[in-house]
Amino acid sequence: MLIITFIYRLIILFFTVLVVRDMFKEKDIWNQLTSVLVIIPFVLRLFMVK
Amino acid sequence: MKKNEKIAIFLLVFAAIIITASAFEFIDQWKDDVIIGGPGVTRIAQLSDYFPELKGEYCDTAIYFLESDEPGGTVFVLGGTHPNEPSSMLSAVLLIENAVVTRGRIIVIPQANLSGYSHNDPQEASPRKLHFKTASGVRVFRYGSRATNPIHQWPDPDIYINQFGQSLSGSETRNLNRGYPGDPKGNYTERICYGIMEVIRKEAADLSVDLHEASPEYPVINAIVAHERAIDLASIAVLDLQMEDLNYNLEISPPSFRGLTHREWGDYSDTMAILMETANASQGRIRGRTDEALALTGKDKMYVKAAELGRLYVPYDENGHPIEERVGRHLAALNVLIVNMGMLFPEKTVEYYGIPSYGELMEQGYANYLLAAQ
Repeated sequence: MLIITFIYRLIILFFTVLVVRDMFKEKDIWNQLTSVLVIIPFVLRLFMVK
Repeated sequence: MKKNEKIAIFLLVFAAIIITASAFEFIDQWKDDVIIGGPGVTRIAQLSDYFPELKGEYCDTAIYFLESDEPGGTVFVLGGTHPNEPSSMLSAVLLIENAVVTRGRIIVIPQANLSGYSHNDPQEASPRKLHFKTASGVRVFRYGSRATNPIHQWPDPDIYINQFGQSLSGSETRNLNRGYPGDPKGNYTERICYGIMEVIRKEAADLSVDLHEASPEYPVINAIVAHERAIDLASIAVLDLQMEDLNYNLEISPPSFRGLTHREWGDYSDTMAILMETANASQGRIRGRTDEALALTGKDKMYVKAAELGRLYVPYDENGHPIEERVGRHLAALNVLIVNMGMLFPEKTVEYYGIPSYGELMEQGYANYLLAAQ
């Protein structure tokens, strides 16, 4: 279970980095806001807070 | 720096503020409730004392022993199987803080699924805490989720196939009352179940009672569900409770509905297994505004309307079903079960005092029976 959790968190970290990177490239502010909505639960999950 | 990059930095700061604020709230829900050992508590153990593999896990819940020097029976009371059913834990807390046993012993676990208390059900608008004003200050208890916290057990399968090969919805894999008799090598929730079974077996509980609540539109409500070995005792208790104007439905534990306390406690130990339900609007499907007041008073105009339409299994009016009534019902029924066990099996007699009657609770209020916080 610990290994699965570790891999799971790595996957979350990977996608969080991708979304943040995309946010900096994005020109449309509404798409940037959408990225924020994705980042918030991802970070809470990354740290296993929620 | 480009304009979109400046906006991105601003939005990241905004996200960090929201993440920090919400993380504090979520982490606050992890803090233990204060439950004070009353004059009758002789010792406190942990679930891991019975199943050492739970040592260090969040779910390692406390077990309170209320013992006497006089030999007699052993009664096991389980509260908090479902942390969104507050009268369950609060009845157990009232026992721990007030009861003094003079014959036999009572063993109480107030928060069976401790992990469930560490979070709320998403999208249910549940209150996070319940507050009780006492003479010495405010006592606070958590209102949790029906199931184990996903940070402790994940992922949910699409279909949960229990130990008996029965298929349940995936989220039921975290439901404590579907995982009995437990499995020492099973998932997190099944291991908690196994620990609780070990308490019942090692302490040779004569009578074991699991306290619950249900939504008013659920058929099994204001009910006693009994394993076949406990059906005589439960039948007498229901009649006695009717004499006190407390009406209960009596249900025999279905032999084919596996994984539940009233079935597996009886099948996998020598105890007489019983489950009891009271009416809790805050977990119902047709409730209106969901807040602490609803959990504590049960006042809800939607349920009054549903009762008028004949859609409920309990009477419901504008007075709701306050926590005093629900705790009072649990404790009155528990008392009747214990008294009648002593009549049916004199060597298993358990005697105690210090617990308010149903009428006293309704008159004085629940908070009046909580001890002063340290």
